Amino acid sequence: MEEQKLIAACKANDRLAQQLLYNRYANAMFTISYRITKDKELAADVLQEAFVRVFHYIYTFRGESTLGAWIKTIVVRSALAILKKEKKELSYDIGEVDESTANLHFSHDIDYLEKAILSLPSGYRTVFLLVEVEGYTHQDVADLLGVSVGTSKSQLFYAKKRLRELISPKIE
Amino acid sequence: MEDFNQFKLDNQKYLPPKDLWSKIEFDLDYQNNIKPLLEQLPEQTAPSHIWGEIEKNIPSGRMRLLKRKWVVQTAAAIVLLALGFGLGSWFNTKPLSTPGVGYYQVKTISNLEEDQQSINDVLDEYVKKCKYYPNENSCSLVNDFTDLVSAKAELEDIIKRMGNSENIMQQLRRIELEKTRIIRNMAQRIL
Repeated sequence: MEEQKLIAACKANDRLAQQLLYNRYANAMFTISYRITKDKELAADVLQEAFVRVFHYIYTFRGESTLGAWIKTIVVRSALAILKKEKKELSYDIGEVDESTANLHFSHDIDYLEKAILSLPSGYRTVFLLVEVEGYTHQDVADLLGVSVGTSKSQLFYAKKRLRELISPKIE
Repeated sequence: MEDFNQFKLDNQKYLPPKDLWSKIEFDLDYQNNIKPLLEQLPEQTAPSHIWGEIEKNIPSGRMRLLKRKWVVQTAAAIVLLALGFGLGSWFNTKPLSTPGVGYYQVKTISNLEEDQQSINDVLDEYVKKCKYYPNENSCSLVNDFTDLVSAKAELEDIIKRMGNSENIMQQLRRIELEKTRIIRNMAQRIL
Protein backbone atom coordinates (compact mmCIF):
# COMPACT_ATOMS: atom_id res chain seq x y z
CA MET A 1 0.00 0.00 0.00
CA GLU A 2 1.23 3.50 -0.83
CA GLU A 3 2.47 5.35 2.26
CA GLN A 4 -0.03 8.22 2.03
CA LYS A 5 -2.92 5.77 1.81
CA LEU A 6 -1.46 3.76 4.65
CA ILE A 7 -1.24 6.87 6.84
CA ALA A 8 -4.82 7.88 5.98
CA ALA A 9 -6.07 4.39 6.79
CA CYS A 10 -4.17 4.39 10.11
CA LYS A 11 -5.70 7.78 10.93
CA ALA A 12 -9.10 6.19 10.29
CA ASN A 13 -8.06 3.51 12.78
CA ASP A 14 -8.04 0.73 10.21
CA ARG A 15 -6.55 -2.22 12.11
CA LEU A 16 -5.21 -3.92 9.00
CA ALA A 17 -3.39 -0.76 7.93
CA GLN A 18 -1.96 -0.37 11.43
CA GLN A 19 -0.57 -3.89 11.28
CA LEU A 20 0.84 -3.23 7.83
CA LEU A 21 2.57 -0.08 9.07
CA TYR A 22 3.94 -1.94 12.09
CA ASN A 23 5.28 -4.75 9.91
CA ARG A 24 6.92 -2.22 7.61
CA TYR A 25 8.90 -0.50 10.37
CA ALA A 26 9.10 -3.05 13.20
CA ASN A 27 12.55 -4.50 12.51
CA ALA A 28 14.24 -1.19 11.81
CA MET A 29 12.76 0.36 14.94
CA PHE A 30 13.55 -2.68 17.06
CA THR A 31 17.14 -2.45 15.85
CA ILE A 32 17.41 1.21 16.90
CA SER A 33 15.93 0.52 20.30
CA TYR A 34 18.19 -2.49 20.81
CA ARG A 35 21.27 -0.47 19.92
CA ILE A 36 20.29 2.25 22.38
CA THR A 37 19.20 -0.02 25.24
CA LYS A 38 21.62 -2.89 24.52
CA ASP A 39 18.96 -5.20 25.90
CA LYS A 40 16.51 -7.17 23.75
CA GLU A 41 13.78 -7.30 26.40
CA LEU A 42 13.95 -3.57 26.98
CA ALA A 43 14.03 -3.02 23.23
CA ALA A 44 10.81 -5.04 22.91
CA ASP A 45 9.19 -2.86 25.59
CA VAL A 46 10.36 0.23 23.75
CA LEU A 47 8.92 -1.01 20.47
CA GLN A 48 5.56 -1.79 22.06
CA GLU A 49 5.32 1.53 23.87
CA ALA A 50 6.47 3.50 20.84
CA PHE A 51 4.00 1.93 18.41
CA VAL A 52 1.10 2.37 20.81
CA ARG A 53 2.05 6.08 20.84
CA VAL A 54 2.39 6.10 17.07
CA PHE A 55 -1.19 4.85 16.64
CA HIS A 56 -2.56 7.14 19.33
CA TYR A 57 -0.98 10.24 17.83
CA ILE A 58 -0.87 9.47 14.12
CA TYR A 59 -3.70 11.96 13.61
CA THR A 60 -1.16 14.68 14.48
CA PHE A 61 1.22 13.57 11.73
CA ARG A 62 1.20 16.30 9.08
CA GLY A 63 3.85 14.93 6.74
CA GLU A 64 6.44 17.56 7.66
CA SER A 65 8.99 14.74 7.81
CA THR A 66 8.85 11.21 6.45
CA LEU A 67 6.72 8.78 8.39
CA GLY A 68 9.84 6.70 9.12
CA ALA A 69 11.63 9.71 10.63
CA TRP A 70 8.55 10.57 12.70
CA ILE A 71 8.26 7.02 14.05
CA LYS A 72 12.02 6.87 14.65
CA THR A 73 11.90 9.97 16.83
CA ILE A 74 9.11 8.41 18.89
CA VAL A 75 11.13 5.20 19.24
CA VAL A 76 14.28 7.07 20.30
CA ARG A 77 12.34 9.13 22.84
CA SER A 78 10.69 5.98 24.18
CA ALA A 79 14.05 4.22 24.44
CA LEU A 80 15.59 7.11 26.34
CA ALA A 81 12.53 7.31 28.62
CA ILE A 82 12.66 3.59 29.37
CA LEU A 83 16.39 3.79 30.12
CA LYS A 84 15.65 6.61 32.51
CA LYS A 85 12.82 4.66 34.12
CA GLU A 86 15.10 1.65 34.50
CA LYS A 87 17.57 4.06 36.08
CA LYS A 88 20.10 3.26 33.40
CA GLU A 89 21.46 6.76 33.05
CA LEU A 90 23.57 7.45 29.97
CA SER A 91 27.21 7.11 30.87
CA TYR A 92 29.73 9.53 29.41
CA ASP A 93 32.82 8.01 31.00
CA ILE A 94 35.14 7.06 28.17
CA GLY A 95 37.19 4.91 30.50
CA GLU A 96 34.18 2.76 31.09
CA VAL A 97 34.37 0.24 28.29
CA ASP A 98 32.49 -3.00 28.06
CA GLU A 99 34.87 -5.84 28.85
CA SER A 100 33.43 -7.96 26.08
CA THR A 101 35.48 -5.92 23.61
CA ALA A 102 38.67 -7.11 25.24
CA ASN A 103 37.94 -10.52 23.84
CA LEU A 104 37.01 -9.25 20.43
CA HIS A 105 39.07 -10.62 17.60
CA PHE A 106 39.28 -8.71 14.42
CA SER A 107 37.16 -9.93 11.70
CA HIS A 108 35.98 -8.32 8.52
CA ASP A 109 32.66 -9.49 9.72
CA ILE A 110 30.42 -6.54 10.35
CA ASP A 111 29.33 -8.11 13.62
CA TYR A 112 32.62 -6.99 15.08
CA LEU A 113 31.81 -3.37 14.43
CA GLU A 114 28.40 -3.75 15.99
CA LYS A 115 29.93 -5.32 19.08
CA ALA A 116 32.43 -2.49 19.23
CA ILE A 117 29.65 0.10 19.00
CA LEU A 118 27.64 -1.69 21.68
CA SER A 119 30.71 -1.72 23.91
CA LEU A 120 30.84 2.08 23.98
CA PRO A 121 29.63 3.85 27.13
CA SER A 122 25.88 4.42 26.75
CA GLY A 123 26.02 8.20 26.32
CA TYR A 124 28.68 8.06 23.60
CA ARG A 125 26.95 5.12 21.97
CA THR A 126 23.65 6.97 21.82
CA VAL A 127 25.15 10.09 20.30
CA PHE A 128 27.20 8.03 17.84
CA LEU A 129 24.18 5.99 16.77
CA LEU A 130 21.91 8.99 16.39
CA VAL A 131 24.38 11.09 14.38
CA GLU A 132 26.39 8.56 12.42
CA VAL A 133 23.93 5.74 11.91
CA GLU A 134 20.53 7.42 12.03
CA GLY A 135 21.55 10.72 10.47
CA TYR A 136 20.37 13.14 13.15
CA THR A 137 22.00 16.56 13.39
CA HIS A 138 23.81 17.65 16.55
CA GLN A 139 20.95 20.05 17.21
CA ASP A 140 18.44 17.17 17.02
CA VAL A 141 20.59 15.11 19.39
CA ALA A 142 20.95 18.02 21.77
CA ASP A 143 17.16 18.41 21.84
CA LEU A 144 16.54 14.70 22.29
CA LEU A 145 19.09 14.18 25.05
CA GLY A 146 18.76 17.55 26.71
CA VAL A 147 22.44 18.42 26.26
CA SER A 148 24.19 21.23 24.41
CA VAL A 149 25.27 20.99 20.78
CA GLY A 150 28.89 21.23 21.96
CA THR A 151 28.43 18.28 24.29
CA SER A 152 26.90 16.25 21.48
CA LYS A 153 29.88 17.05 19.24
CA SER A 154 32.46 16.19 21.87
CA GLN A 155 30.72 12.94 22.72
CA LEU A 156 30.72 11.98 19.08
CA PHE A 157 34.42 12.74 18.84
CA TYR A 158 35.25 10.50 21.80
CA ALA A 159 32.98 7.77 20.47
CA LYS A 160 34.78 7.79 17.13
CA LYS A 161 38.15 7.85 18.86
CA ARG A 162 37.27 4.85 20.95
CA LEU A 163 35.93 2.96 17.95
CA ARG A 164 39.14 3.68 16.08
CA GLU A 165 41.16 2.34 18.98
CA LEU A 166 39.10 -0.80 18.92
CA ILE A 167 39.15 -1.30 15.21
CA SER A 168 42.10 0.50 13.57
CA PRO A 169 44.90 -1.85 14.62
CA LYS A 170 42.94 -4.58 13.01
CA ILE A 171 42.02 -2.79 9.82
CA GLU A 172 44.90 -2.78 7.46
CA MET B 1 64.05 44.41 14.14
CA GLU B 2 60.60 45.78 13.58
CA ASP B 3 60.46 44.13 10.16
CA PHE B 4 61.55 40.86 11.64
CA ASN B 5 58.83 40.99 14.31
CA GLN B 6 56.23 41.77 11.70
CA PHE B 7 57.45 38.89 9.54
CA LYS B 8 57.29 36.52 12.52
CA LEU B 9 53.81 37.72 13.48
CA ASP B 10 52.44 37.33 9.95
CA ASN B 11 53.81 33.85 9.61
CA GLN B 12 52.63 32.76 13.04
CA LYS B 13 49.14 33.84 12.14
CA TYR B 14 48.97 31.21 9.42
CA LEU B 15 50.59 28.34 11.27
CA PRO B 16 48.22 25.38 11.52
CA PRO B 17 47.61 23.74 14.89
CA LYS B 18 50.13 21.01 15.56
CA ASP B 19 47.51 18.31 15.90
CA LEU B 20 45.61 19.22 12.76
CA TRP B 21 47.13 16.47 10.65
CA SER B 22 46.31 13.83 13.21
CA LYS B 23 42.71 15.05 13.23
CA ILE B 24 42.53 14.93 9.44
CA GLU B 25 44.09 11.49 9.46
CA PHE B 26 41.62 10.40 12.10
CA ASP B 27 38.68 11.67 10.06
CA LEU B 28 39.97 10.09 6.85
CA ASP B 29 40.52 6.86 8.65
CA TYR B 30 37.01 6.95 10.06
CA GLN B 31 35.42 7.94 6.75
CA ASN B 32 37.30 5.23 4.86
CA ASN B 33 37.21 2.37 7.28
CA ILE B 34 34.29 2.71 9.64
CA LYS B 35 31.65 4.90 7.99
CA PRO B 36 31.04 2.55 5.02
CA LEU B 37 30.55 -0.36 7.40
CA LEU B 38 27.85 1.45 9.37
CA GLU B 39 25.40 1.04 6.51
CA GLN B 40 25.93 -2.69 6.65
CA LEU B 41 25.19 -3.14 10.33
CA PRO B 42 22.83 -6.07 10.76
CA GLU B 43 19.15 -5.47 11.37
CA GLN B 44 17.54 -7.10 14.35
CA THR B 45 14.24 -8.94 14.05
CA ALA B 46 11.44 -7.72 16.28
CA PRO B 47 9.92 -10.47 18.49
CA SER B 48 6.71 -11.76 16.97
CA HIS B 49 4.55 -11.29 20.08
CA ILE B 50 4.91 -7.49 20.12
CA TRP B 51 2.12 -6.78 17.61
CA GLY B 52 -0.36 -8.66 19.81
CA GLU B 53 0.64 -6.49 22.80
CA ILE B 54 0.33 -3.30 20.74
CA GLU B 55 -3.09 -4.35 19.45
CA LYS B 56 -4.36 -4.74 23.02
CA ASN B 57 -3.30 -1.20 23.83
CA ILE B 58 -4.74 0.72 20.91
CA PRO B 59 -8.42 1.62 20.98
CA SER B 60 -10.69 -0.02 18.43
CA GLY B 61 -12.30 2.11 15.71
CA ARG B 62 -15.68 1.88 17.46
CA MET B 63 -14.22 3.08 20.78
CA ARG B 64 -12.53 5.98 19.09
CA LEU B 65 -15.77 6.88 17.29
CA LEU B 66 -17.66 6.73 20.58
CA LYS B 67 -15.02 8.88 22.22
CA ARG B 68 -15.23 11.36 19.39
CA LYS B 69 -19.04 11.31 19.55
CA TRP B 70 -18.89 11.83 23.29
CA VAL B 71 -16.55 14.77 22.83
CA VAL B 72 -18.83 16.33 20.21
CA GLN B 73 -21.91 15.81 22.37
CA THR B 74 -20.19 17.29 25.40
CA ALA B 75 -19.02 20.28 23.39
CA ALA B 76 -22.53 20.80 22.00
CA ALA B 77 -24.03 20.61 25.50
CA ILE B 78 -21.50 23.15 26.80
CA VAL B 79 -22.29 25.52 23.93
CA LEU B 80 -26.05 25.19 24.55
CA LEU B 81 -25.60 25.76 28.28
CA ALA B 82 -23.43 28.79 27.67
CA LEU B 83 -25.99 30.13 25.20
CA GLY B 84 -28.77 29.50 27.70
CA PHE B 85 -26.92 31.26 30.51
CA GLY B 86 -25.99 34.09 28.20
CA LEU B 87 -29.54 34.65 27.03
CA GLY B 88 -30.86 34.22 30.55
CA SER B 89 -28.56 36.82 31.98
CA TRP B 90 -29.29 39.14 29.06
CA PHE B 91 -33.05 38.95 29.71
CA ASN B 92 -32.53 39.29 33.46
CA THR B 93 -30.43 42.40 33.17
CA LYS B 94 -32.79 44.00 30.67
CA PRO B 95 -35.56 46.10 32.29
CA LEU B 96 -39.00 44.52 32.01
CA SER B 97 -40.40 47.41 30.07
CA THR B 98 -37.82 47.25 27.32
CA PRO B 99 -38.44 43.97 25.48
CA GLY B 100 -39.78 44.07 21.96
CA VAL B 101 -43.31 43.70 23.30
CA GLY B 102 -42.77 46.66 25.56
CA TYR B 103 -41.65 48.75 22.65
CA TYR B 104 -44.82 47.85 20.80
CA GLN B 105 -46.87 48.96 23.79
CA VAL B 106 -45.03 52.23 24.17
CA LYS B 107 -45.61 52.94 20.53
CA THR B 108 -49.31 52.20 20.91
CA ILE B 109 -49.61 54.35 23.98
CA SER B 110 -47.77 57.22 22.44
CA ASN B 111 -50.34 57.23 19.68
CA LEU B 112 -53.29 56.87 21.95
CA GLU B 113 -55.24 59.71 20.44
CA GLU B 114 -54.79 58.49 16.90
CA ASP B 115 -54.99 54.79 17.55
CA GLN B 116 -58.07 54.25 19.62
CA GLN B 117 -58.50 50.88 17.96
CA SER B 118 -55.28 49.57 19.55
CA ILE B 119 -56.49 50.71 22.99
CA ASN B 120 -59.80 48.99 22.42
CA ASP B 121 -57.99 45.80 21.35
CA VAL B 122 -55.89 45.80 24.52
CA LEU B 123 -58.99 46.47 26.63
CA ASP B 124 -60.97 43.69 24.93
CA GLU B 125 -58.16 41.20 25.38
CA TYR B 126 -57.70 42.21 29.01
CA VAL B 127 -61.40 41.92 29.75
CA LYS B 128 -61.46 38.46 28.15
CA LYS B 129 -58.55 37.38 30.31
CA CYS B 130 -60.29 38.66 33.41
CA LYS B 131 -63.30 36.60 32.41
CA TYR B 132 -61.25 33.42 32.23
CA TYR B 133 -59.17 34.24 35.31
CA PRO B 134 -61.62 36.14 37.54
CA ASN B 135 -59.39 35.95 40.61
CA GLU B 136 -56.64 37.86 38.97
CA ASN B 137 -55.91 40.94 41.08
CA SER B 138 -54.96 42.98 38.10
CA CYS B 139 -58.56 42.88 36.84
CA SER B 140 -59.10 45.97 38.95
CA LEU B 141 -57.30 47.86 36.17
CA VAL B 142 -60.52 47.77 34.14
CA ASN B 143 -62.38 49.66 36.86
CA ASP B 144 -59.48 52.11 37.21
CA PHE B 145 -59.49 52.69 33.48
CA THR B 146 -63.30 53.15 33.41
CA ASP B 147 -63.03 55.69 36.26
CA LEU B 148 -60.43 57.65 34.34
CA VAL B 149 -62.55 57.64 31.18
CA SER B 150 -65.49 58.98 33.22
CA ALA B 151 -63.28 61.63 34.85
CA LYS B 152 -62.04 62.77 31.47
CA ALA B 153 -65.61 62.98 30.11
CA GLU B 154 -66.62 65.15 33.10
CA LEU B 155 -63.69 67.51 32.57
CA GLU B 156 -64.45 67.82 28.86
CA ASP B 157 -68.06 68.64 29.81
CA ILE B 158 -66.82 71.39 32.19
CA ILE B 159 -64.60 72.85 29.44
CA LYS B 160 -67.58 72.93 27.09
CA ARG B 161 -69.70 74.71 29.67
CA MET B 162 -67.19 77.01 31.41
CA GLY B 163 -64.29 77.27 29.01
CA ASN B 164 -60.67 76.20 29.18
CA SER B 165 -58.35 76.73 32.14
CA GLU B 166 -54.75 75.76 32.97
CA ASN B 167 -55.88 73.77 36.00
CA ILE B 168 -58.33 71.65 33.95
CA MET B 169 -55.72 71.06 31.22
CA GLN B 170 -53.25 69.81 33.84
CA GLN B 171 -55.87 67.40 35.16
CA LEU B 172 -56.59 66.17 31.63
CA ARG B 173 -52.86 65.56 31.05
CA ARG B 174 -52.65 63.61 34.33
CA ILE B 175 -55.68 61.53 33.32
CA GLU B 176 -54.09 60.78 29.95
CA LEU B 177 -50.82 59.78 31.60
CA GLU B 178 -52.64 57.54 34.03
CA LYS B 179 -54.68 55.96 31.23
CA THR B 180 -51.44 55.32 29.36
CA ARG B 181 -49.90 53.67 32.41
CA ILE B 182 -52.98 51.44 32.90
CA ILE B 183 -53.14 50.41 29.22
CA ARG B 184 -49.43 49.58 29.36
CA ASN B 185 -49.98 47.39 32.40
CA MET B 186 -52.89 45.68 30.73
CA ALA B 187 -50.89 45.02 27.60
CA GLN B 188 -48.09 43.46 29.67
CA ARG B 189 -50.51 41.16 31.42
CA ILE B 190 -52.29 39.87 28.36
CA LEU B 191 -49.07 38.79 26.65
